[in-house]
Amino acid sequence: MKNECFIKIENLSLVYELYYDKTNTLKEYFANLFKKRNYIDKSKDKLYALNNISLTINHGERLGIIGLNGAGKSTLLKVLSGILKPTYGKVYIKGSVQPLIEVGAGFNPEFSGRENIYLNGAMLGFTKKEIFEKEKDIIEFSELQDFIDVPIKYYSTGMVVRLAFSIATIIKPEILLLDEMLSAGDLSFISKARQRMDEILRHAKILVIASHDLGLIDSLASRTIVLDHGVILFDGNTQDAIAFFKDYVEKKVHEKRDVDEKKDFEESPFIDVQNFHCRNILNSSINIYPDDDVEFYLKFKLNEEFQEFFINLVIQDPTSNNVVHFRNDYSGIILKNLTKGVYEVTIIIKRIPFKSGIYSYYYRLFGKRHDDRLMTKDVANLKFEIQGEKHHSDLIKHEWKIINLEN
Amino acid sequence: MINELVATYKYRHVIYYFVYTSIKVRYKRTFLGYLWTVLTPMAYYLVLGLIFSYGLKAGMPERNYYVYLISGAIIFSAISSIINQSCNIMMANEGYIKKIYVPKLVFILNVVFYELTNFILIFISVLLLGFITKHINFSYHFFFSIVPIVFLIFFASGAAMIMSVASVYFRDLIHITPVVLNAFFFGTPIMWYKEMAPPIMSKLNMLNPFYYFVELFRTPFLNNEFPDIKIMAITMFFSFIIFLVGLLLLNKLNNRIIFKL
Repeated sequence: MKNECFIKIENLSLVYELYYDKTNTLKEYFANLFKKRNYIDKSKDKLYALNNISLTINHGERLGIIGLNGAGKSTLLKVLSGILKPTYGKVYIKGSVQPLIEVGAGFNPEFSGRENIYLNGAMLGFTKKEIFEKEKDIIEFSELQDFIDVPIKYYSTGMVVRLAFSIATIIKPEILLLDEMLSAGDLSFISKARQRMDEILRHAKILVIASHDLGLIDSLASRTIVLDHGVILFDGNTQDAIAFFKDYVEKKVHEKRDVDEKKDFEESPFIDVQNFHCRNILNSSINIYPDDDVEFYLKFKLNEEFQEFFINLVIQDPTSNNVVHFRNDYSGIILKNLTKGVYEVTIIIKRIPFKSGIYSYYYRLFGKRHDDRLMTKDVANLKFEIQGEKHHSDLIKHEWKIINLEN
Repeated sequence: MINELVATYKYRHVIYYFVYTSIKVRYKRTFLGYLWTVLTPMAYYLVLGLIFSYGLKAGMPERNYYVYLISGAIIFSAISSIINQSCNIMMANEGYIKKIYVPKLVFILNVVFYELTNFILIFISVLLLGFITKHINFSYHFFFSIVPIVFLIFFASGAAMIMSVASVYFRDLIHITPVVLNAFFFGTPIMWYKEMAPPIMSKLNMLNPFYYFVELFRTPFLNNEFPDIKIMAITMFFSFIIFLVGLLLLNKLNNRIIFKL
């Protein structure tokens, strides 16, 4: 077929050069030159963000990319969109490529909305004709008719996002690249935006999507690759890939846990963690779905008396943002004059308001002894997973009230 | 290398919208609007001319000195402001460079063509000023100005490519460049006559690209004649060389700039 699109990646490597010497000033450059200081170990300073990847994506395929943070997902998308050039290897692409990687990259705050449509459109590689034809459509979709000739610096954040989304999605590309930021789920608060996303997704002949949201990947991708440290670990149908990934993460957590526990034991011998788990209390299993009640359990032993004691629980979402931080004293439980012995802590989150994905969490135990010395103990890098697709708006209990005050 | 030029051509609308909108925005909400583009330089050079040719007199032949000074000064400041700004180009556009693909030459040409447009507006206003004050009389020789302007585009783009890439690696250049350009301003025969300076200055100026541009640009206005063909050939030669060197340098480091920002 003539209009067949494809992406062919051959032995692609992308090396980030981590500069130890960061010679950014002439003085340092000359100083280094004269001293013949050679503290740059070339081999050490190279980070293979992508390491010898070969991949062919055929016409009609919907490819998901999953992996932990720093696995190379975004880097791969950046290479496909042309922001980064391969250090080694070749990338062949047939078809028009349009990344929806960042919203609002390229707005000039001094320019009006309309002026930014033209400038931003040109920067995204649209032709003059395309922008001219779609100008009205963009303004209408963003609902900014009254403000379109006002400089962007007077816009609210919401208005900027609306305008950026309207510009970025005006062209229906043959090859669509999607990164976390603009995944359909995040925009579901505007049903119109969601509709348009669906339309673009349908229209795209090839879709490449990178996300931490396994539910989203499951619903959009037919084939999925698992990346880790720039290497493809798995390539196959989405269900298998997700199963593989979960398994892989589980294994990693165990490895980490072993290492961490050994290390921490020596550091703080006065606090001894004995057991912990995280489970769904509705059916006492580790399968957690959005809206379930979840129990975090920790059992530890104190080999020393403590004057004051604090227990922290921090949960991070799949993009490593802290979403929850619980502390006993914040919740009104003061722990004072703790004696030696074994303690059990259970924290229950009722109707957990998280959408699907792998969440990590850690405990930080923190105690003050009678001689005022502080002791801490971390139980780090624990994971739990939420399955099934749901949106935040469904999960967070909320009420609406709309009142027409005049007319 | 050719790829960068082809890609830049594809993104040429970015340059157009950037220059057009920047100039439009600059005079927004002013009472006189676009008139300022001509009025500001006219007032500036009127004051400069009054001080130098009437106030100081400094032993210069009056009538010619006015034209001599201003024609030299405007072409010099066009090139120097491009080079000055070029040091910051990659850093200023870091947000774009890291997020979307736009050829880096586009950002450089944004500055070049913005300043070029400014220069042409200034040029028009001082021409008007010259006609009004009867310091110059129209002559067909004036059309020769197009030649140094074309060379200027190549020279300044090349220099801007070199400086913008070099500044990424050596941030000091942002601070050093204005000082060096200032030295060039006083070292080039713009305010003074070549004949007045010791011979060593003339020799040094043979290596000064600004000298050639200034000579090439002002001769038609000063004497109503075409400049020396030798000067034209030299200007053309080094303009293209600088352009080529700049393009080669940008091409060589193009993919690594992003890691250094």
